[in-house]
Amino acid sequence: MALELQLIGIAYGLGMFYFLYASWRRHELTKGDFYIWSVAWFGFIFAIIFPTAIDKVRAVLHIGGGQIPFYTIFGFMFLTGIVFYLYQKVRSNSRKIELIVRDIAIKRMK
Amino acid sequence: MKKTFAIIPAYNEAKQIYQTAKDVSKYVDEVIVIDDGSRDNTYNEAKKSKVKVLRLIVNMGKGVAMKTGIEYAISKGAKELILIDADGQHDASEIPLLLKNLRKNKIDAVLGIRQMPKNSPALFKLGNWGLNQLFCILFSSKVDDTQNGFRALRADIYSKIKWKSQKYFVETEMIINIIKNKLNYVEVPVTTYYHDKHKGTTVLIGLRYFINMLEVKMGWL
Repeated sequence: MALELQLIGIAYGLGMFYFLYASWRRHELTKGDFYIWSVAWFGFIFAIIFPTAIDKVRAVLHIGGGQIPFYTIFGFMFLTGIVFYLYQKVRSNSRKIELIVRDIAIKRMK
Repeated sequence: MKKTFAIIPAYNEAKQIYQTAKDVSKYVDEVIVIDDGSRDNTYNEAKKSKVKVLRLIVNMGKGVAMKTGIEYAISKGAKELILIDADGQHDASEIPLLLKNLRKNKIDAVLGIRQMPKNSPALFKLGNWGLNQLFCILFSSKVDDTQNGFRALRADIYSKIKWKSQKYFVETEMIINIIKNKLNYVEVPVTTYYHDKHKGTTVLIGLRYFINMLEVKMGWL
């Protein structure tokens, strides 16, 4: 079970990284966004592959051992995915709105 | 003949915009006010001064307003651009001084340096000083006022200095682009009046400037 969960987590993390990379290539995100989110996704993948390596973090957060941390990490990964998706959409829409607003301002002058 | 346009981005400046636009129009060929989605009567007040007024239907920030105004001015044949704040903090009679410097050989941009009134808040002075020092360290160039909105530019450099910032970081990003492109600039002291004590850069905006400068330095913006 643990291995299957690990594989799903890794696939999800890599999928999100690909989404991040594609957004950056389309200039919807800055290089800074790309680096920061890359750290987040590879951090999650690392935590999924080596759950024991984050024992200290678990101790600070009072998260138990065994399989529960997997679900916890999964939960965080899922939430981070939603946050990332919204962040990417907000950035992208902000640029689109800028173009529309500027275009309307100039067209109304003519 | 030189065609000089003044660009005045304005957000909720109904009290000052009429006078500012009137004063500025004495020294340039055309004035363009960009109402940045103001919630007050800025648009109508600006219209009263018989200048061209572009209206952004929602508030987008100073960077977007300036970009809109400059691109419109260039489409109308602008050769020289004066950038000036709408809140009346600058003295329009100093526009000829900026233009005189701009018309000197090979000068691409003239940057105003605010002369802080003696009664300016200490934190404000310290913040400005700190940001200017940080700018010097990060970009190896000494600029005495990285945030001043009173400037003169040759219109043909716009494509080289075009910024990404939508908000107040535009002034600093513009200088960074001037330096990166090895354009020639001079700094000129300009008078500053503060009509509203509650306006201006806050500590949080200063912190945001700091982060933005680091982002530009790292090539992240």
